[in-house]
Amino acid sequence: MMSKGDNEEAERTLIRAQLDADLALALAKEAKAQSDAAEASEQVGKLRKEMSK
Amino acid sequence: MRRSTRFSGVRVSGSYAAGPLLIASLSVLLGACGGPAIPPQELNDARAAYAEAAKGPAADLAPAQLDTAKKALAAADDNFAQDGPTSKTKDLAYMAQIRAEIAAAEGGREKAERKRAASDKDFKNAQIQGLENYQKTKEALASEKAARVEAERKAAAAMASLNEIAKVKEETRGVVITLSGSVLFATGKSDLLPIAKEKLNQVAKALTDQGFKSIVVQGYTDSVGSASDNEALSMRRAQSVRDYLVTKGVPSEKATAEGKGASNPVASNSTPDGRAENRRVEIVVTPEK
Repeated sequence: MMSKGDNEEAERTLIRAQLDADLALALAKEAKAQSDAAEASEQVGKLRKEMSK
Repeated sequence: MRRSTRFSGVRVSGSYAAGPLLIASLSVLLGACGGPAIPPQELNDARAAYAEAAKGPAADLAPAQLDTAKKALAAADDNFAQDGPTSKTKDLAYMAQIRAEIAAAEGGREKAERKRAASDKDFKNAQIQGLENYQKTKEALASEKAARVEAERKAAAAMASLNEIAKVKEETRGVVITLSGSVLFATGKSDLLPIAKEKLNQVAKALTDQGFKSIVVQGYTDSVGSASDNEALSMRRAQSVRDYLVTKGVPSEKATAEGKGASNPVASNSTPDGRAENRRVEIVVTPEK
């Protein structure tokens, strides 16, 4: 049987692991969003350039 | 602070290798001296991570996540104040740091998504504008074509109308409208006959309908009489015609008169018919283009 202290520590370890996963996901989403935004901006630039010809 | 390399909360960077030992040693020393405990590196990192997140887009775009990070940091601070730099304090600090970094990432994502939405809107607007420009150009071309067709029709109509009352021919000097002197003036006179005014009304209408750059009204006589008299008479007749055309809408600044006398005969002056042909007024029209 684990003591109360061991349980708390194990719980904190689990939370830390979960937070690490959450952060990895958040960073991946942010990177995707930034990539999409850059692409969209580039498309606008191309279209405007095309229109100005 | 963000995107630091970590594995399940344990930093693998070498920069903190000596940190915990130093902090532990200082804590022991300060504790022994009764001074305040030094915060562990994890807590300092958490505070810095939160400060950075709060400065960024998360403040406006991920306020809930930032608030969660703030509360997590407060919990770590409280635990540190109560128990010192324990492993629990360090765990709580680490959790606060990660929550702050999540908040920053969420803020960054939201900002990027808004930027993309704005770009999508710009793209759509540009497409609409392009379509509108295309339609406008198409309409302008159609309108221009219709105007050109109408102008050509009017020009043809004007020419046809002129052909009914005068001889019209194109020469290198311009379009030459020739009116017989016998229908314009009485013998030896320069006052326009009533029938002449009717014809000149048609000429003026044709000219104003068609448009032109300039006209020169040239008067001619036959060879009977003195040259000086003929030149003077031809000048007065040309001036009469020119002035009348101006009263009918021909711009004054575009119209001039010349007396040519018996020069440039178009027929023999030895026969009555030939002399009649030579007594004439020519209107030389320079087209607009």
